[in-house]
Amino acid sequence: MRWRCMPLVVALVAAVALGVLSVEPMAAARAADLETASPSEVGVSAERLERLDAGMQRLVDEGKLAGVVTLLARHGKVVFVDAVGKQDVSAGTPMARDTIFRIYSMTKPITGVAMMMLHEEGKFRLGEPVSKYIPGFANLKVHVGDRADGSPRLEDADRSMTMAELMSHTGGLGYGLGASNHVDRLYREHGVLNADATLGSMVDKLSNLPLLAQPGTRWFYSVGVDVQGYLIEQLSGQPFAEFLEERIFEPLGMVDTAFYVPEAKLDRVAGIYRDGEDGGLAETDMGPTRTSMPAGPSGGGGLWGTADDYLRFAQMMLNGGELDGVRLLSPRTVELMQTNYVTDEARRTMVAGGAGHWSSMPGQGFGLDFAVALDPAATGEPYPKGVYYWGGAAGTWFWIDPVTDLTFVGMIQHLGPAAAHVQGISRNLVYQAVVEP
Amino acid sequence: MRSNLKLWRYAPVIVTLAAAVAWAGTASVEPVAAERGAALDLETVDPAEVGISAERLERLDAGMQRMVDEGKLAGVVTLLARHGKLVFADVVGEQNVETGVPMTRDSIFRIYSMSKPITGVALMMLYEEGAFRLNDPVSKYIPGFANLKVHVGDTAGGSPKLEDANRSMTMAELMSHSGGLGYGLGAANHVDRLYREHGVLNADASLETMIDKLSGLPLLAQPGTRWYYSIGVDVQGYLVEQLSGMPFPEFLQERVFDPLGMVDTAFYVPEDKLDRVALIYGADENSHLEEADMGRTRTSMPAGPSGGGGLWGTADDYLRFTQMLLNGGELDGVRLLAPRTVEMMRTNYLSAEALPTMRAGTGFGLDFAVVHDPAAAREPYATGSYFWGGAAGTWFWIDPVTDLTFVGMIQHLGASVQEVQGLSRNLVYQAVVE
Repeated sequence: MRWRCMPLVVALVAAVALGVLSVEPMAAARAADLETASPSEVGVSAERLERLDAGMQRLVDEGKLAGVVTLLARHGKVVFVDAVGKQDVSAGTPMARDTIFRIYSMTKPITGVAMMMLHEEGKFRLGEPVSKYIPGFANLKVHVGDRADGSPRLEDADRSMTMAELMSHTGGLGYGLGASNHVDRLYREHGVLNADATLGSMVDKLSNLPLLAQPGTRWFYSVGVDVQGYLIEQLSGQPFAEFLEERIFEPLGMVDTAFYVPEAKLDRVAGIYRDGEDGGLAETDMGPTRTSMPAGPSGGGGLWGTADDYLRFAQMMLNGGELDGVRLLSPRTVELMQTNYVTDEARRTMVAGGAGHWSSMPGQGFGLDFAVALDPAATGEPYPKGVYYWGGAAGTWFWIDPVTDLTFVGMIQHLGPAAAHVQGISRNLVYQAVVEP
Repeated sequence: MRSNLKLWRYAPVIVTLAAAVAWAGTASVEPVAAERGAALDLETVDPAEVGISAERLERLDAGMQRMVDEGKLAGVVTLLARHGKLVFADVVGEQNVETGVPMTRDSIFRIYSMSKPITGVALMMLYEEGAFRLNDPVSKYIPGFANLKVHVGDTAGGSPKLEDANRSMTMAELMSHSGGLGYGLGAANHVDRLYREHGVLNADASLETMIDKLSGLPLLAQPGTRWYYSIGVDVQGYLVEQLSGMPFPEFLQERVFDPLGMVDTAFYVPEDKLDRVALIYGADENSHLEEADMGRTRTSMPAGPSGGGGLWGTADDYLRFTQMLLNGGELDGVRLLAPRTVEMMRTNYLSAEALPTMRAGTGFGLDFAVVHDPAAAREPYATGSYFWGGAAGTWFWIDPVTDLTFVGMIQHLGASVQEVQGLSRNLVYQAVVE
């Protein structure tokens, strides 16, 4: 509890030496943290940043969240490090900067970067049909509605989805999570999402199931990034998990990011909570923490990691594909990833739920495995235009702002409205602290 | 009196012309500076220092003077600042035509709807504290706004047809006059009539009373579909109280007026400042100036301070407010807002559906109108300029491209208002030569 205030104290006190070690008591345990700066050095108000710390603390004090880790970097320097609350409420273990979180869908941008590294090697082109690399995707059916008797009506797909559509959730694939449409039901019946089966078997199943929309016509959050994990194996000739390890995690120094948590690090894993009936926190069962590599590592949601690891990834993107002299992507490739690839027709389906609906994304587009803010006023967010971001099912969130030159990573493990609340509030509180444009 | 007035209204121009040498004249430009506390005025410079032609500025002074000489306005105070420096302070005509009291730079004006941007800044200060989000439904903070009806037309029999609102208006819609609220001013539609019948706008009733009344009255459009100038900013005053736990006027005083040094801006005019209050005029049938009855000047805090139109203030006070915004939220080391928050306030928040219901080339941000297409707006404004005005003719704009801000103060109802406001924009932009 005391050291969560340290970064601020340090930033305020030290017009002189910055005291990186005192800000980061566990720095020795991690290979590579970003350089730390006093907020004022990068146009951020230390005084106003206190509101961000207080806001996170309040959510814990009010019992809405067990704990939060947040990191903010501007102009490539970390200016805010905050760890509040508990990693495990019943055990009383405090949240720490190196606490490990299940990042779920924050896996997707990482998978996307791996794909684009292969794009840069000329292994595929964005306009190519996915069926060029997955022949089973060549002649898919599309579920277009139901007959009077309730049986599904299927049509032939007009064409194969493209690689860009696969990477922007507009290829017509479903997901097999909670949604109640016919295609998602089929995915669940066939166990498409199953980390204990190989990626090859997932792709085989998908090759026999209908799409839920004609390619390019609808944005639907999908299993497409798991498919990308499979494609990485096909295109690189290397197991997906190995590709990520050798080409991304090691070069970037993401020492705690993986598809499982080794036994030795299990005491650093945060518990996952949800909003309890009594207004308090309840533990939630999201399955055991994996301690060995799954048979089918999920490119859409399989990773665990730390805030610092993810910040390094996000900062690499903000830098135009490079971090500490290690280049993963060229600037133009990063720019492609943060460019909207969703047609106007499909973008209209992004707001189908209406304002306030969980699936509603007004003012937003989708690039290659990142959402992109196109019309900040419509989003209701303080983001400037061009910010790109995503989050995970257990509430982790991040954004990258190339206009303000900042990136933020927030880690919680929570299911329920408190997740959206803390994410939203963090955006208010970050932007009000940036005092030099 | 008259000659005296003439002489000193020329002072700024005379000074700028005379001084190829030393910039002698802050004192002569601002004869009353000492009384109102010179520390509170923006630094004054020679126009040439900030890319403005002193010679061309004479046209602005002459234009204002002509409006008075032609009997179209009783008096005008105008201030122009560029690059954070005051380059033009002009006072012409009279504060009170009958008694001959001259207009002065510290004359106090009823600024009416120029209260709105101030209320908006207060609300966005709370936004910066995380007190609300722009896409939050207003009903989260005002439960009575949860299930409003919408007046969608009249039946053949002439009775109003009501539908359920599709959803609650959002905070951003409330702040951009697109939430579906009416106003209860002169308009002849059913909803505005209801507002008048129920006395929704009443400074002698509490803000809670206003909210209770609005909670029982229909909207005039589905949220998000139409720009309609509304009581929404009075509602924002209520929200400032709810979200801050402070009375609305106290919040403005402690968080906006005191920090910015807006010493003469308040919801009433204390007795000892009453002699500085300019009278409000209109034109009689012979186009002669005639005092308009807009009610007495309040000398104590009203029960329901109106965030939409309740303030009195001076040109200098308001210029400090606009310069704070032009600076990205800070003035003289005091920061009220972050630059991005100011940028948001001057970003259009009207939906594609609602935008065409606003005037041409102009959108609406958070309590400011915003020019997105100056050609369509037929104004010399640069794209991105934001502005508003008050019912008694006061006006201002903030131009982040040209880095200038202008405040004009009159107290007039009628056609001369549009004329002087429009003219001022011609005459300001022609004077900017760099």
